[in-house]
Amino acid sequence: MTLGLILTIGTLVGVGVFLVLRRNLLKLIIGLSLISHAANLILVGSGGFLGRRPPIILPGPLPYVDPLPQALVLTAIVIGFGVSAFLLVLLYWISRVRGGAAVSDLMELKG
Amino acid sequence: MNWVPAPILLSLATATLCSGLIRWRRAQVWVSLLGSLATTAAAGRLLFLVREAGPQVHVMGGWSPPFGIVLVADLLSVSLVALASVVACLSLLYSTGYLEEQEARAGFHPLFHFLLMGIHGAFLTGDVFNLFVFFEILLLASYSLVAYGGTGAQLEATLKYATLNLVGSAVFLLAVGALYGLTGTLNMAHLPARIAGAGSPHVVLAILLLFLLVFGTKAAAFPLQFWLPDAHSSAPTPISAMLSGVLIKVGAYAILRMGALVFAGVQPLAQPVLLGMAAASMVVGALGALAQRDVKRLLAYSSISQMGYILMGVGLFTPGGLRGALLLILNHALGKALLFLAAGHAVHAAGTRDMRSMGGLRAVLPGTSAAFLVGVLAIAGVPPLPGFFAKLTIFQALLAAGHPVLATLAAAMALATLLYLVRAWQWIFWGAAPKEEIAHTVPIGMRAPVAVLALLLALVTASLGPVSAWLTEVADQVRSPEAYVARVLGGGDRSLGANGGGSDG
Repeated sequence: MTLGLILTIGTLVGVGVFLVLRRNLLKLIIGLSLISHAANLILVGSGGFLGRRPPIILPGPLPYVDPLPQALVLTAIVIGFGVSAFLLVLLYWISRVRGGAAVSDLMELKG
Repeated sequence: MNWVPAPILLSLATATLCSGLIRWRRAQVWVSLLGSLATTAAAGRLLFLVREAGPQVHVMGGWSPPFGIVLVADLLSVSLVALASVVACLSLLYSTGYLEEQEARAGFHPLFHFLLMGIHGAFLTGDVFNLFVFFEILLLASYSLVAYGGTGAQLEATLKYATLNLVGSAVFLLAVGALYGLTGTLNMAHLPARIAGAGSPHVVLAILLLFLLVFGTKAAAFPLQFWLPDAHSSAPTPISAMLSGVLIKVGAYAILRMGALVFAGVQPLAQPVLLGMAAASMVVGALGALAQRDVKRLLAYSSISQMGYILMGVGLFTPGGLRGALLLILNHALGKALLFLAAGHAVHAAGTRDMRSMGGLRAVLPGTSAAFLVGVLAIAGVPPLPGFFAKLTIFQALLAAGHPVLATLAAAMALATLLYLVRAWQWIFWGAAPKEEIAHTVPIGMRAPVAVLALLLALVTASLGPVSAWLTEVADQVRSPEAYVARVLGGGDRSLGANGGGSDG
């Protein structure tokens, strides 16, 4: 894990949590996506991410990093993309049905 | 042939066929029903196979473990796959009658089978990241199904459900990353050996607690249960039955599998956390249900409470505790599905979900009233129904493990369960007859599954001895996973059929 990766993860989580706490639902969804991307970066880091090393074993004593977490992250990115797409359509329908896209429009279900 | 991936593949095939038949509704419904029956038959065949020949393994793509992904069917997995298939068949049948009253859009059946594929995959997988993928499949399908119908309440419930589970998924990836970084493998059979030599048990405990957070969100354990009352009450009734009956059990299964197999060494350290979460769920669910006037919301809170009992049994991890938890899973899946579907009849007849506005529906729906009573007795734990024996086993396990306070709490909440369920039955079906003429009769497609579920509960009650013996066998196999690990990692024949021949992995 490089320092750059750690700082990126920290920034993403911080911005993501900040956005999740906003009134506007679109910002909520973007914040959730940022938190998912931060989790993906953590997964990349768990494979020994060290900057300029490829996840391929090249001939000769060249360094490499573990490719498995990078493969896992590809799957996770696609899953996150699908869920984000679904949430955006859900947001569109909420704004149609409830006439607004803020948390205050979602107060019907209580107790 | 190898039967292990059959339930998953059949659900996938049914979902694909149904999506192709979107313009031909009648054909789509028939394909969907036949596909669910085929999946149930495959689950049954797999059940008998595992019973005779031990845990079955299917190696995906020929990449042998521990590097490749495996599907493993041991007794616990196949029992839950079979249970899920049965509940799914009946919910699907119910939905054919239910959706005709609403605008029947064409995406329901493909989504339902994708949900089923995710459920079967989650039960049958032997790899932690594959578990994540199947969880996401079933969650995405369930988001769409909860929002099916597009009312404001459903959309709101779906957003809350999706938000909490998206955070859960991020934590799942974090936990997977930590686990992989610590041990270098994600195969469930290979992990126990790697974890044992992996350093401080406190790091391992931290990872286990992260997994507990994720699976607790799926299983609606306190303090992660906030999505459940909204989602289960707003969803269409057959989907509520699937969600309460099957989906929350997937969370309990994941906790059990990870605790028993992967984290067996540190599981006792996490026991106080799990027991605390379970006890709080029991109380929150029961108290929440006592305050409800909406029948589906009451049943949803009741699900939280019953999951508390199940997680109590899982957390204890003694033979008695596990047996009680498994019997309670069986009882709750059948009983809660029955209650949701029967409540759907009442809501359909009365036009409202408020129980205080209903009354006297016994005159209009006598069969439903009787079936609802069977469900009430099963969930509340009244003998001779299996719920009583399950809860009794859990009380005994709690006392034997030295938790008298928890046992008293469990008994008190069982009394509360009896109170709110019987009161619901009274409010809906007894009292003064309904004032206006009930315009809609309940179609046969909606009545048949309720009758079948009541009969299944009666069947389980009558054969409680063999069922209990089976569940003891399941619990023993879960607690001593050497056979599982040997089957997955041992070379040579991996899928011994009844005729003893190996097949290409």
